[in-house]
Amino acid sequence: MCTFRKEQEGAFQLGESVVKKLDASRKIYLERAAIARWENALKRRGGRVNSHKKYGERKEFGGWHPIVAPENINVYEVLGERETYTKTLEFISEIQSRLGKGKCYVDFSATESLSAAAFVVLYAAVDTALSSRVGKGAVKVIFSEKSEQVNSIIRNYNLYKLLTGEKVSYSLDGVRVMPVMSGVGNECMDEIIDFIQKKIYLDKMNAETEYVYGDAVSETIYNVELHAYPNSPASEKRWWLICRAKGKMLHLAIYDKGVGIPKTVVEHPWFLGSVQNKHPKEYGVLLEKFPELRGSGISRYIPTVISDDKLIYLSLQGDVSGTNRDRHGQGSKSIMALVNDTPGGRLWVFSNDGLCKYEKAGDEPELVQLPQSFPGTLIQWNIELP
Amino acid sequence: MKEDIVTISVVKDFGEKPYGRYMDINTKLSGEEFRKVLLVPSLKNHKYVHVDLDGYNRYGRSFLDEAFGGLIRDEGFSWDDLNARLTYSHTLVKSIENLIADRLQAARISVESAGQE
Repeated sequence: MCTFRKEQEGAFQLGESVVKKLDASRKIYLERAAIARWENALKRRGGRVNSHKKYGERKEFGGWHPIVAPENINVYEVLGERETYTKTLEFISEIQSRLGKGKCYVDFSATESLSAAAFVVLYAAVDTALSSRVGKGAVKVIFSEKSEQVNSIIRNYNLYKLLTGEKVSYSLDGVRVMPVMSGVGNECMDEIIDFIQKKIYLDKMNAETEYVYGDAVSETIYNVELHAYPNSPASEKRWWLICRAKGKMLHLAIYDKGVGIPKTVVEHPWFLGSVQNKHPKEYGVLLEKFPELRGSGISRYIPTVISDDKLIYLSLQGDVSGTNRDRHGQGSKSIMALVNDTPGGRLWVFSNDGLCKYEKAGDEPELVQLPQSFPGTLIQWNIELP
Repeated sequence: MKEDIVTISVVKDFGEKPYGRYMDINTKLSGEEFRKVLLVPSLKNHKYVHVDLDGYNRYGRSFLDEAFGGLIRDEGFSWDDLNARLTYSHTLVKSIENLIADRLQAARISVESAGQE
């Protein structure tokens, strides 16, 4: 059985699904048929259909612990009836906590769709959870029974290799599809831009566009190095990147597992000026509560009156005190430039409890308070290709 | 100081892939390193300095801000002095030249404001 959803505007799916709606009665019929097949299969194996065991439920088997992926692995649908965000993050959280601590099987059998943003977060969770594993054998993968495209994503973007302990290479020599890339500092940065230039723009990227890409990627990974992991050694300040062209759109996302933008933005010297400028009401409330902290000491209390989505927005504005004079807060201008200076540009920034979405250059962003905290920071651009 | 002009090629004289702002964060090829190792000595020893940025199109904003803006903020050069003696060019990417001009101006305002305060 396979059901399909209309893709949310601005989001992108890794699998290019054919949109076909099933009516309700057909769906129920197919589900009943699936249950009947499952019951028959159990009887043939000499088993009994237990009332306490439900169809679709996975049990520990021979000491192998199941980690079951949801139908839709997708972080774009944050609100509403089709909210997939929470189940996706619960799955990723289980991956993070269980993988590498005994024998596990990751079960994608019910998965119908897999979005790129969620995929890179999932990949990073697997990568870090298994980083200390020695050799193969502790993880098995059950592929999707619902979508062959989900399976090809798991294979082509190196998740299968990572899970099963095969060597994963971050070299882009000779590859047709860029797998998830990972590095520390500016490792691989030029290879990634070279790949976009040669394989996606087919060597027709002009120098100004190359500069906009180079600046945005360079500043984003430099922000990871400078801010995301304040108490970690340089070798552990890791980022992950996924890049994919789909039709006329290029989707590029960079993820880190650091402390999150809302935690670090309050440290910037320009931050207080920006809060006064953009949120005078909240700033006034704080001054009333803590008059003795007038001045920079008040910064650390700002998260108590300003939500994470707004703090992300402030970080993307950088220094808006009027002079643009501070040396810091410049990286956000490079991140925004990739949206503002390229046609059809969109930007999504997930960090901690907030999401900030720019659907169109020049418009005010959509700010969303997330139903569950996001582990780290994900910056995703959608760019229209020429 | 010699009454001459010296040209610094970032790619040939410094490195092919300059990146980042500070020497203590990324020890190789940062904007601070370029400023301290090449730009400041050149400005002290020669009357005119030209920075040729050709050969790399992916400069990050942090690198450029720290290399050029830092001359005013951290090295004590004045905007007027640099305006008279320092030139820079990138043949293919005029946005890079514009950004350097912007960051020099921002550094000038920053230092002047700090002086007033």
